[in-house]
Amino acid sequence: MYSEDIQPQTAAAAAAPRRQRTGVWTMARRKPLGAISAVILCGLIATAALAPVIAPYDPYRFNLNERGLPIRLHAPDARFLFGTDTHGRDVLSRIIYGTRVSLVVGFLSVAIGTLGGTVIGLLSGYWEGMVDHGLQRCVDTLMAFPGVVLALAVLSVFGQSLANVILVIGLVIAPGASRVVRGSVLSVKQNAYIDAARAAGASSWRLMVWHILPNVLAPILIIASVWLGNAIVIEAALSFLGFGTPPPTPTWGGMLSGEGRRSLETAPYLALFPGLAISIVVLAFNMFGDAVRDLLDPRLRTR
Amino acid sequence: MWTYMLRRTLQGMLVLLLVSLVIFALVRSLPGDAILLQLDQAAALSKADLELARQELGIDRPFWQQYKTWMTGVLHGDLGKSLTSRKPVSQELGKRVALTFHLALMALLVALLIAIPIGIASAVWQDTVTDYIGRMFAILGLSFPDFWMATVAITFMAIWWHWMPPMGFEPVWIEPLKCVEQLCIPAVIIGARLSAVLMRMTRSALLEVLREDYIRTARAKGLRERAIIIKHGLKNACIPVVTLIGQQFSVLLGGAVIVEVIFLLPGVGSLTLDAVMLRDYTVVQGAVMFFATVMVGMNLLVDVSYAWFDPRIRYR
Repeated sequence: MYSEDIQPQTAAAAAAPRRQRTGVWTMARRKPLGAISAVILCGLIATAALAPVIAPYDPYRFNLNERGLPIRLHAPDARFLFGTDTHGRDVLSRIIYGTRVSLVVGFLSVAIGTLGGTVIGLLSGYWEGMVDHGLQRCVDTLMAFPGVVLALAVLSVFGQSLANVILVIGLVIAPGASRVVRGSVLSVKQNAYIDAARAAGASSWRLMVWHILPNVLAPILIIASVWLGNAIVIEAALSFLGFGTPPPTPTWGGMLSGEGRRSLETAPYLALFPGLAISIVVLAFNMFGDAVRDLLDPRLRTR
Repeated sequence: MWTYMLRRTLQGMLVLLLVSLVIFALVRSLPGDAILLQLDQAAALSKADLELARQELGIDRPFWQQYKTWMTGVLHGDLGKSLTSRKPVSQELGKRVALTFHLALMALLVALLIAIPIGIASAVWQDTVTDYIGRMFAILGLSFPDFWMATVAITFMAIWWHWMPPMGFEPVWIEPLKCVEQLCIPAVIIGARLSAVLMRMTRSALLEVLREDYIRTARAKGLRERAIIIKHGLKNACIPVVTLIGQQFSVLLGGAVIVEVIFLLPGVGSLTLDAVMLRDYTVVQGAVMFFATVMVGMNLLVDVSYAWFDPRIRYR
């Protein structure tokens, strides 16, 4: 009777044995772009960790000239590689320190968002019926808000801080992630080994955590890697609108807004470099996410 | 089909009810209120005067009473009055909804015009230079945040071409040229990002479909390649693409919020931002209900369209 219940193996289930064989070099050979992006990301993590060593100036200090006045809007040259901003702070140093906020927000918000999404998706997919209906309508509700508006309203209520920015972006990510997890759970649940485990007396909790969760890990990792870039863009957008991590903490989005934006006509480099920094990081995360997806998703592997 | 539609509509209404509760509670937990933020001289007013002003706006009553009054109004098509301009919210929204819809639809058009041809080319000539260029374009499109592109576009247009998009919005049926001139750059910026997402989906959906048996049959009976791809391939590849358009509509509207602010366009997005800052509860509520209704409607439309794209799908 079980033979009829066996569905074509899901992406998740089929990917598991394959993953063990994909070593670092295999990945580098098969996905050169993914390998390059991984190197860029390692470089960024190192930059964030070693910011005090690498940065040529203190990112908060107003650099003064001989007469004791701030060196405002100094064009890029050998002394200030990326120039100075309206307060005379070194743009390069601020970008280097800005890496910290972007990466911390990116990783933590995606971790929180996918964790929340996984819990909701597991519960919703495992218990169909009322639990599923209730949870799905809550997910619908969150998804009916435009992300930016929801984030702004929540940040206005709970105040601007790094922790709140991370939580809010996690809140924006979670509903979509829960949908993906729910879909995978619904398909994994059809497998004969789930019935077998249930017949052997496994509790619902045990089934979910030990039998279903490991088999939906691949799609979760895929969304997580794809969302990393998005999370950094959302953080930058919030900082740009003045709702992100409050100043004077250097953030890439913040550097693009406010006075930086107003003095763009005289000092275009103020927008150029932080913008490029965001684009490079997001590009690296997107390429990395694509490589991970191709490696973990057997349906796409041959393409 | 009809029972399915009815069930989905009821679900949509339930979601809208939940949205209304959440946003109603959320705006009321914002620190400060419209009176305090509106009146520069609020400090000079006595406590009694402030209370009187709040009473006039009805924001001193208990939460559930306020909600009941508002919801009764909404169900009768009355979204209340703006706490700052004192004009009806529906009137404030009405002016701006047109612009936001113009912007969203133009962006969608731009996105489709870019995404569909590139996606098809990328799938048909898989693993060729065309494919690599197409995919590179998509990944680049995803990597440039719209607010950055908007800022750079505005600055460089002003510096190099001494050109700014005209102010004051007119719908396309009144002044088509001015409307397009005003919205084309913001639409391209929002559309570029969307096109990247759509192109990737078009490519992978078409690749999947092109391996189906019926495509082989079509080839075997000697149909021209173009007919196979467009008539047999593309229509069947539409389902995931249309689903994605429905999902991305919130991204489209969200992107519109920031781009409207940067280009100083009087749309719903910039109205919402201003209203959050000014604690104009009724306007925030009205605007969020507008966004949510559009989203719920879009998703319903997407689901219903499946049956058209794939006649095998029937709803029960």
